[in-house]
Amino acid sequence: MIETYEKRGASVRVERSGRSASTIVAHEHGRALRERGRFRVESLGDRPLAQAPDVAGATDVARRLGMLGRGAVAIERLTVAAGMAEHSVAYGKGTRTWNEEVIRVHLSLVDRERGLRVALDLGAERAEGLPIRIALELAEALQAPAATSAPEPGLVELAPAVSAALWTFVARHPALYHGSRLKISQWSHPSWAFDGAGRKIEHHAVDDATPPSLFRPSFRVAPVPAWFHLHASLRGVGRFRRSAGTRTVGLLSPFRLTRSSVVAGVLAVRRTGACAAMLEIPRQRFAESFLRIGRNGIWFPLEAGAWGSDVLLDGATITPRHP
Amino acid sequence: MTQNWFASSIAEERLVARGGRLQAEFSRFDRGWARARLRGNWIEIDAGDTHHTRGMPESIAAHLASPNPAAPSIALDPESFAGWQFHAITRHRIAVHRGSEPEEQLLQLVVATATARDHGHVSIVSTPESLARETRRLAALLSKPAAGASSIEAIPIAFVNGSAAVLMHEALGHPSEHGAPHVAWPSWLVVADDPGMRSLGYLPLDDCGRPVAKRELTRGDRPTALRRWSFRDTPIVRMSNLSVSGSGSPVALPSRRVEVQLVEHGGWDPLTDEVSIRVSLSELVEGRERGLLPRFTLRLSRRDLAARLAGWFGETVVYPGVICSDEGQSLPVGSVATGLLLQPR
Repeated sequence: MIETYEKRGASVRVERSGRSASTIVAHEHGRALRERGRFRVESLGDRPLAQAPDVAGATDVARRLGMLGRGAVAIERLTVAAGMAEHSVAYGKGTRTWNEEVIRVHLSLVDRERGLRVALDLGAERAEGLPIRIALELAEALQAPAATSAPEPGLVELAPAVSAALWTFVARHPALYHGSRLKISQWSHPSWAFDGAGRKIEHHAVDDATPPSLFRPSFRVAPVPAWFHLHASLRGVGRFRRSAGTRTVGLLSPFRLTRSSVVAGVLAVRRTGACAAMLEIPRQRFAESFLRIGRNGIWFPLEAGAWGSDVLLDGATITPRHP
Repeated sequence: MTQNWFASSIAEERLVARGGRLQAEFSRFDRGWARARLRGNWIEIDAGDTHHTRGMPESIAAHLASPNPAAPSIALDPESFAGWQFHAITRHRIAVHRGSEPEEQLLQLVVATATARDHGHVSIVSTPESLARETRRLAALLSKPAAGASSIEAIPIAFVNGSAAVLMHEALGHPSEHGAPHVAWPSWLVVADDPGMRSLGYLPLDDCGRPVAKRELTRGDRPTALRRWSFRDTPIVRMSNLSVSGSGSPVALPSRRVEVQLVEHGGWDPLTDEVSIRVSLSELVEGRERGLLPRFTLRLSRRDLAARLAGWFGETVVYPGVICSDEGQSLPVGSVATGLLLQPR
């Protein structure tokens, strides 16, 4: 049986790096065929999508984010991509069609004096839905004076951008939370309800099994099983109102496993200022470390998507990292 | 305001040698056009995959209407290369700068990947013409015995087989593309970017149809070519063909040394000014004894590297290919080099 996927799309990409600044508006029509382990792709160019992408919206977002570089903080790379697409999948006698609209931001901010780099990815259906405030919080933290006091042991708060990255990492290591009160699930998104094969994305606990949905970021690549819109929650935990003295607002290096902990380089904010630090969550009581996972989720375009929210941790340590 | 047109047709195939034949697992054909206008420092690009659009030069329309190119065929005996993977690429592109003649170019590449016991995947980038010779050479290297356990911290490192071009690609090439501050390189070292060299990055005119020139990066020059892989990419200053050579007398090699043959990947971080090189294939040489070393990563600042370069040696050798990924675009960069000797810390 041959599966035939077609996509007609219109997109705009505003790019700004140390070497170039450009706007690319593209119209494309492509097809992908999958049959018995072989995958074939070709651009057709027959019927371009009539609609124009939101050039004004993407340009405005790039302009607003472009103002974040001040003082020692510079924009190393900024990409704003907005697009709309019409998809169809034919398999046997059935055909599914669906439409999507998306805008995504990739931002890399650097503090050259302190040698810090923090990257952020944001996504929404339309420009006005982008949580730009998260980028503002990051830039403010980078511009803040260096924290003068070492963080005290106690509670640590993760900002949504950090917790979304944590869930993406944790989903690859189910042993960290299986059988505990921490629940990681494939969730839904009101704007993107279908996977790369046009099937509805259903809620599903993330486990060792192959994900039930297919991720197809472009017609040019073969779709792969992936967990969509990752979501974390705590079972049987009441409301917890204490607040933390340290809030981690961005990642300086990705999460990884050591023998004893889940660790990441983070940008940590305290009342006295901000600092680069190493966040360590002990493996032994990883799931028990989570006291609160906020219900107001923000979606991030990490892999096939992840919901992040404010998360409160007890038992994690923050160790300032000196450049 | 300047304007240029560009069109690319790219045919790719991924094959694996299995069961006595080459089986295609993936094939892709990608074709489209781009019109770029430069407004001050800002490039505005319209792009698409239709065959015609308003104002399109005839040469671009003719390219888009031409027959699809095919990926290069792999002329190897699949029995002898069982388990190897091949990524065969043909790119046909045309660039038209306002007021100049259209510049057409056809490029064919094959990335060959061997899976060696105890050594993981090892890749080379070749052309259809040199594929047989270079795959045989790689197979011979991989069949050598492993070196005994040894720390390589205190051993001089000799970059052979043209691999010094990869080291300097990261340490001088990328920083020069970014206009990074110059480092005091040894006076005997000559590193140049030459788009006119007949190698993987040969570009008589660049991907915007503009003239290009050889530049000596060790003197603080920047590469001249604006390059892009496909019609969907922004043209940016990139290396084309990097050459490494030395002046004066060559250095004598110590009898005990590490010889770097192939590099898996490398990088330069503009924030830390640090170069990293992941060596996939190297040998420990002790007199006449030779043995393969496990993979290792070399990480050092550019200043440290400049201070540790002890000299050049040997003939100029064409390195079996670099596919350089930067700003989301992968481009082949021709790489030729004499040997370079790096002293331990």
